[in-house]
Amino acid sequence: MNGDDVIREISLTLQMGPEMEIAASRAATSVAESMRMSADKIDEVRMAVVEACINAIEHSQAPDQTVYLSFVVLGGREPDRLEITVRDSGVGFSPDELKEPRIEDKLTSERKRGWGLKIIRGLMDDVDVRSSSNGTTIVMSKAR
Amino acid sequence: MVSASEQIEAGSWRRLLPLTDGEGEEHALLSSLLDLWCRERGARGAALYLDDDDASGAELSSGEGPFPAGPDATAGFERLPLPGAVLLWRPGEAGAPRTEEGGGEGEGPLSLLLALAVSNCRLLGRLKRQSFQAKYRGVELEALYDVGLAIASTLDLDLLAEDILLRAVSLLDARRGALYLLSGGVYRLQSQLGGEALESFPATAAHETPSGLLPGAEHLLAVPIAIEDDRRGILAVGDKESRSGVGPFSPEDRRTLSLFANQAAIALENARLHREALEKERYERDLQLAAEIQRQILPKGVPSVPGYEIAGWNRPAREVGGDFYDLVPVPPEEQSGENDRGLLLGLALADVSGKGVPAALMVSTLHSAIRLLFGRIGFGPRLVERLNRHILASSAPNKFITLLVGELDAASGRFTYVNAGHNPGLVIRADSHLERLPPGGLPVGLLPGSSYRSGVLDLAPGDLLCLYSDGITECASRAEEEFGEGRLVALLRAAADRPLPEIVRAVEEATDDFAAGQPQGDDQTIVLLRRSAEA
Amino acid sequence: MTETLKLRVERRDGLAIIYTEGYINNQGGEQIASAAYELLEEGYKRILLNLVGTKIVNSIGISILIEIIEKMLAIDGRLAFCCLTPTIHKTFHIMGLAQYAGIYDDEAAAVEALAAA
Repeated sequence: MNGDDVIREISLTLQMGPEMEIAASRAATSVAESMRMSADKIDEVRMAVVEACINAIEHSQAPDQTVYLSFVVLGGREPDRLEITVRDSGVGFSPDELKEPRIEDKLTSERKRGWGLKIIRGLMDDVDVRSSSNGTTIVMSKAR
Repeated sequence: MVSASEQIEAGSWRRLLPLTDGEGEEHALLSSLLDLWCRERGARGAALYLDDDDASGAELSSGEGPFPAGPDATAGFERLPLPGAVLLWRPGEAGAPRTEEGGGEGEGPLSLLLALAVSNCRLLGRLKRQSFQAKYRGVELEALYDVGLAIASTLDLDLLAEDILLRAVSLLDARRGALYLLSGGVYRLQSQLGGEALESFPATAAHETPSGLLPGAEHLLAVPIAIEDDRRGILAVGDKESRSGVGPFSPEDRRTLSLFANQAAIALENARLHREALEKERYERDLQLAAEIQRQILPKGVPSVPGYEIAGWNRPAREVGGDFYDLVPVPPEEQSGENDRGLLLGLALADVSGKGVPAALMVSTLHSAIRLLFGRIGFGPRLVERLNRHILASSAPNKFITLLVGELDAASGRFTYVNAGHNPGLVIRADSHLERLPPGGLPVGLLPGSSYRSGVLDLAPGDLLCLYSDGITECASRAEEEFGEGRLVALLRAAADRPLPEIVRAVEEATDDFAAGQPQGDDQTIVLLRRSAEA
Repeated sequence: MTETLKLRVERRDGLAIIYTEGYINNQGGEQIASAAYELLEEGYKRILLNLVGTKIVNSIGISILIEIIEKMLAIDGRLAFCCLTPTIHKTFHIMGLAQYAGIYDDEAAAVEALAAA
């Protein structure tokens, strides 16, 4: 057994709506608790998931109004890492062109999305963002 | 000759002579004897049947087969001079076999020899079985010993219950089993094996076990797990296996299972006590942790904002509380606004529903969320909407937070705020005029999609801003009268030009005097901000 | 806990491995016997029973395993076990299986020993 086996995998497809991030956050909390993550890390994971969902809801303009989430617990004998993917099929944005938000930048919705990512990057260990006109996928992970 | 209509129990016909342990001499001997019998008696073929509990394996036959499960028109049978041994034969050309020399059916020398050979085989089989069983007693003893050891070492209730059940089921050769623990008058399923078991059932006066405990099981054996007469649970097994199928449990099985249940009772009791001790320990530790969280979260000092005096004070009702306040300076380089506004100061005062550990944990979530969002999203109703979503997503449905949060532009004195269901903030102007900061929305964490209205206040030199929690205004006297906003305002007016720490102390003393020794009912928090009078 | 035994057979050069998952009782024992006898007919004389997925064996299961061992010894074959839980390991020793079949902690050691036998 190497340290990167999938111990558990949960997928959710949620309709965008006011209670959507609540369901996503509950799922995230359950999975994180199941791998015995410490309470403050669970809080951080939960915040990151909520932020990612809010981002998708507010900025994706996805025609199917759907957010796809997956929670994957990875590890060897013990769970090591939680990897969460939040995906939408919306209009996307350009993460590369997104500079570190500065006061000089105008208050555009693109820049606001940048702030959401900054928060997520501060909460999680690794964050990978891919975005195109077909949608945006955020993959974030946190060690136990 | 016996006619086919003679009674032999249908079941016994199905038992065949066991050969698996008779490979070699015994088998060869029987085979030869059977061949001889056929030849001597002129039968076309013959098969040997034995009525034996553990019989299994290949059939022993000679000559023309196949042989039926019982006598039919084409075959006759002869009892051998050995209980439970029967020979089935097919007539030869001349019809029925010749009778033996020396006697009637089944008494002649050949029949006796056959009987002797069969008896040998049977004895051998029994010897092997007994030896097996004797050794298996050793396994049973070891199992009981190990469970006894487990009392000292395995304190994990779940693992222990699983281990006990595994051993009980395997030792009794059962197909399945279940272990129940009694709590609150209901037997609840703790561990199951090999099949479905009832999730729970209420305990009757006689502690009967429902017959459908293991659905689908044909045979059930259940014994109580008890310490002295104190019932703690039930250990049940179903469907005892043998080579040929399932059957009922024996009295010895009941004795064995009871021995197990006794050991189980002690081990489980230990595990339960350990778990309780752990939980109590965890609770105390949580309490300490929450108190620690709160100590760390609450600002230790006050930030320095040129042109202003600031003071904050908090006194929880129990070791851990649900009140929270924060003072967050946001220098220009961290701001999200368009314009360069100089130093901004974020203020927040919140009251979490409930007290104790759960409230403190919510406070911790709120604190992180405020710190993270403050200055990044830009102050306003959107920030509070965002907070609302975070709190909704992270806490129990019935928990909510009343919150007054605002942003002071130090240069201009403009205070923009959102009051989410909290008691109105107070402003005592330099001329003693009173203004309030009324609620502009529901408490946070209550309803999804809540909207919030922001208010604006311009602080002039000498103006005093006071945010407080209802632990102060709802502080009750002996006569059950409340301290109330009136007394607070009067106090603030009277102390308007005193240093802020003195005002805080005055409020503290006034509420203490008012309560006159009664225990503090709710957390008390106050945040004061005064724009310094121009020199 | 699975009720029926699941088996997986891996055929290698000169040796076959039967992996078990679940309860080795009457039914389970018969399944193992079937699989083993089939392997014998295919010509395998070295069989390893890897009990990694098994937590429980009853006396019927053990008696069937003993039969398999006897049959194999009769044709000069060898049977070995590996990856037993401590309880099952102890049980096999008490029941005398260890005298006629090798018992090993891990698969690699068992395979090595069988190849040399």
